[in-house]
Amino acid sequence: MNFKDISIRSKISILVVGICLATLIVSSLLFFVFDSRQYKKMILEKVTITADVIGGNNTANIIFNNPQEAATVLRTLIADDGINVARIYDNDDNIFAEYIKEPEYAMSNLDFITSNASHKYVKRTLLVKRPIILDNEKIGATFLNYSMEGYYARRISFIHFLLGLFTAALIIVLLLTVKLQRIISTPIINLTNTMRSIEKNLDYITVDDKRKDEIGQLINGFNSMITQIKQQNQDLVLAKNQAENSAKIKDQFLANMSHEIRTPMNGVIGMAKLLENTPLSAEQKCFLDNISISASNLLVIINDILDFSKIEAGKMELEEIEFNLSNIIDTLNVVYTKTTADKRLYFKLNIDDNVPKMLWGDPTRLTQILNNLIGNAVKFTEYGGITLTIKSREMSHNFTHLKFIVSDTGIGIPQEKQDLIFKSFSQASSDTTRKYGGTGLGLTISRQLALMHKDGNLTVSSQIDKGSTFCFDVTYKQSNATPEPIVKTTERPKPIEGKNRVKVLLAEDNEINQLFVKTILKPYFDVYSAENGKIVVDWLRKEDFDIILMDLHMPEMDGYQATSEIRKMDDERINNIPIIALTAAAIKGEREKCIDSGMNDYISKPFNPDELIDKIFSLVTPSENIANKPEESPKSKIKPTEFKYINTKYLDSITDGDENFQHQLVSIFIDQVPELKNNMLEAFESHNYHRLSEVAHKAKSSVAMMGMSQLREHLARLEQSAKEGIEAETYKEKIDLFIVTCEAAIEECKNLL
Amino acid sequence: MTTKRTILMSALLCLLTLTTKAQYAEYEIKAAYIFNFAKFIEWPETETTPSDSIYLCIYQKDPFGVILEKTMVGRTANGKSWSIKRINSLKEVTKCHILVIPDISQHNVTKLLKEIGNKPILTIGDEIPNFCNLGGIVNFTPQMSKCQFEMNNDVACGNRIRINPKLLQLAKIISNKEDEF
Repeated sequence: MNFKDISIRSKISILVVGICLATLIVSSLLFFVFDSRQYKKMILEKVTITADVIGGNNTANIIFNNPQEAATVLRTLIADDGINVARIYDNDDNIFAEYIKEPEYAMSNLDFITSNASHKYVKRTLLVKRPIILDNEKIGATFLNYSMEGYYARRISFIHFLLGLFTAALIIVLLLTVKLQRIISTPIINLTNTMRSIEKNLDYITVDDKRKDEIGQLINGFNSMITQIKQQNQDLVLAKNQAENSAKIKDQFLANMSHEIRTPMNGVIGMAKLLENTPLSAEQKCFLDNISISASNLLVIINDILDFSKIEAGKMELEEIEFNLSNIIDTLNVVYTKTTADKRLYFKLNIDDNVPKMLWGDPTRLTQILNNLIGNAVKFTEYGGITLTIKSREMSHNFTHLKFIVSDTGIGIPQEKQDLIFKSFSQASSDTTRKYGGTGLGLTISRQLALMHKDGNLTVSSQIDKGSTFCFDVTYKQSNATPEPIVKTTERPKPIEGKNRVKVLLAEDNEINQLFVKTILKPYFDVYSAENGKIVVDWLRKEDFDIILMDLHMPEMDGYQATSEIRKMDDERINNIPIIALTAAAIKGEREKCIDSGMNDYISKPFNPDELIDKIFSLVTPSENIANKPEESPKSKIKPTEFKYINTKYLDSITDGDENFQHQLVSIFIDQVPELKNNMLEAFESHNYHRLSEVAHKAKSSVAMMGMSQLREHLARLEQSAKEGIEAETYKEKIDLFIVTCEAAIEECKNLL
Repeated sequence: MTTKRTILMSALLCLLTLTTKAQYAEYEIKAAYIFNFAKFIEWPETETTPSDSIYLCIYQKDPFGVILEKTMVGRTANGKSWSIKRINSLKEVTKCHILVIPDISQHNVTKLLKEIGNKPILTIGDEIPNFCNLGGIVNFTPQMSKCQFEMNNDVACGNRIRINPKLLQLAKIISNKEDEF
């Protein structure tokens, strides 16, 4: 572990103990050396003095030649335990007198005596030689052999003392450090702990410790930082809430806009569709086509903008469902074969054999990307055509990498613009926008969508005037399911007349949409409309319905409220009624919101009529349908006779060629007409317009069955105006038209029978 | 000078160490003793005796001959040079530091010592019996005795002559006080 990484507590302890020990060691060593030297010097001095004293004391003995007396003097040295040998030499280095403590020390040390050295350490002994001077003349020499055992013993006891000192000092230093390091470390550790707890609990607490040293400054800094962070957090939370709020408002705005725009668009498209079924001049037909195309384009643009804002907001999410790739390709093939044929281009499919049919993923987005790429290709190609190539490469873990390559022979994109086309609101040139239209969002959205997929990418390579190739890479999970055969919509139960018809309650405040829905559903169901949720709830209490089509945005009580009201009702027959949401707000989460609020299904406006009819059929109790389902019979053998009023083709189509059923229908029609006629006239004459409206409604259904679309429209208008009590002057004319047309039709019917 | 002195000194020491073997004449040893005595003795400062040298006087009969001159001349003791005088009358005594008294009659000795009184003169008797008892300070003893000389420190003290105890240690001490009791 690095010293740097250990805790400050240990650091201080280690430092203090270390410094103390180092100081102690150095000073002890110095002291030890100094003391040893001093002691040695002291011994030397002492011995020298002793030698001098001995010499001085014996001067007379020497010059008056009295060795016995000298020896007596030397013997007094026995008092000093350290003196092993003491000798007095005369000037010829002969021993004059001597004292030997132990016989073992009796060596002569002659080489030292004859040398010039005054002292010498030999084998733990000190040898000292001092001249004996009398009256400035050397008269002999004193020699002492002094034991250094005392010195060594002192050294050893000194070392013991130092070891003891060390231990004691270490213990004292450790104890003191452990106690005193807290003075420095505790505030720092407190600070650290506070910091940790802030980090962990995100609870911005300050440290309460008033002091004026650096740590105090640190704490002050820390506290002020924490206070700032607190303040900033509050500000941030506020800002976040504001941002979330505005995001919510933006979402709401988008939802509303999408609803507000789609609702009239629904009207435009629906009406245009209805208009197609009316007799029109060639010029009118052309105008109508233009209306339809413009409306569709507008819808595409609106959808693009909505998608784009969803992607920008990060709210776009991919579905993960099982889908049939061949179905998607087939649909594309049908659509673009026709579109390209209109522009005299070719459309080729080039699909590898190993491309799997069933996959897991988001079919909607795949279709969107391919539509965008192929649509662009068609848009920017004048000659030649478009090829869609699909390559497949199997990967591990049941994944398949697919490459969708859309290549065209169009105008191409210059190299330097190839990156730009993926940017928002960018096209290769501003001319492009003028010439070919478009929002410039399509490729941006496609690329963003592509990038959201696993291994997804969208790339382009292009040469001017040679064409462009867009390549969409994606990895899908393989599905083991076998592709289901495409269910033909014609297998749907046929429209029926009679009392057992399914009763649909339509909750919709927009009259045009009411009309549109009513019109497309009329052949199959009895449709009753309510303008808001409140009326729906009231009606349900009075009358039985089989299904409700619920617009979500209505005055007084919207779809969600109405649904929850209905689901809360006591009557089991009512609260279980299937409800399909109709909404123009095609934004994310709306579907979930609908399902959550208790609705059974969801359809986004503008919708495909067949899709709505299918959904209704799938939700109303199957037993009723089966009961109403006519028996299967061989195909109609009616010969193609000229019928002016009734539409035998339509009759064929709704009965699926069942002759008996046709006869039944025709008979009912023949029986109904006189009664309808009477009731109508009666209601008109008594000014009971409501009754008139009802009769017209019934008559409308009846003539619709006969395929008398023009008359049906007249009656529909009559029904509507009579219901509202307006345009009373037109009633008679319409009733007459009904009577005349029906009588002629009955004649034709009789031929049919 | 120094070399010469060293040679002489060592010669003397040789002489001293070998005295017991009687290879040197008796008076040569005695001369050396006298020389060495001077090193252990301090005389008081007086007007009559000059302090720059040691006056060695031999009374009447001189048994040393040239030996004294040989031993002392040119050498110092305690930094003082030697001056040797042969005197016959007591009148000359006052100037002396050391007075060597040869073997004279007892009567003369008493008379002589009386004359000297308490003058700071180191009196050395040459084997004079009872010399120290009579008031002499140093007396050579006959050969083969335990100590080579005897000393009366009381007299010395009375005459303000200080004898180094080291020297006293070597001497046979004669004390007046014994006689008194």
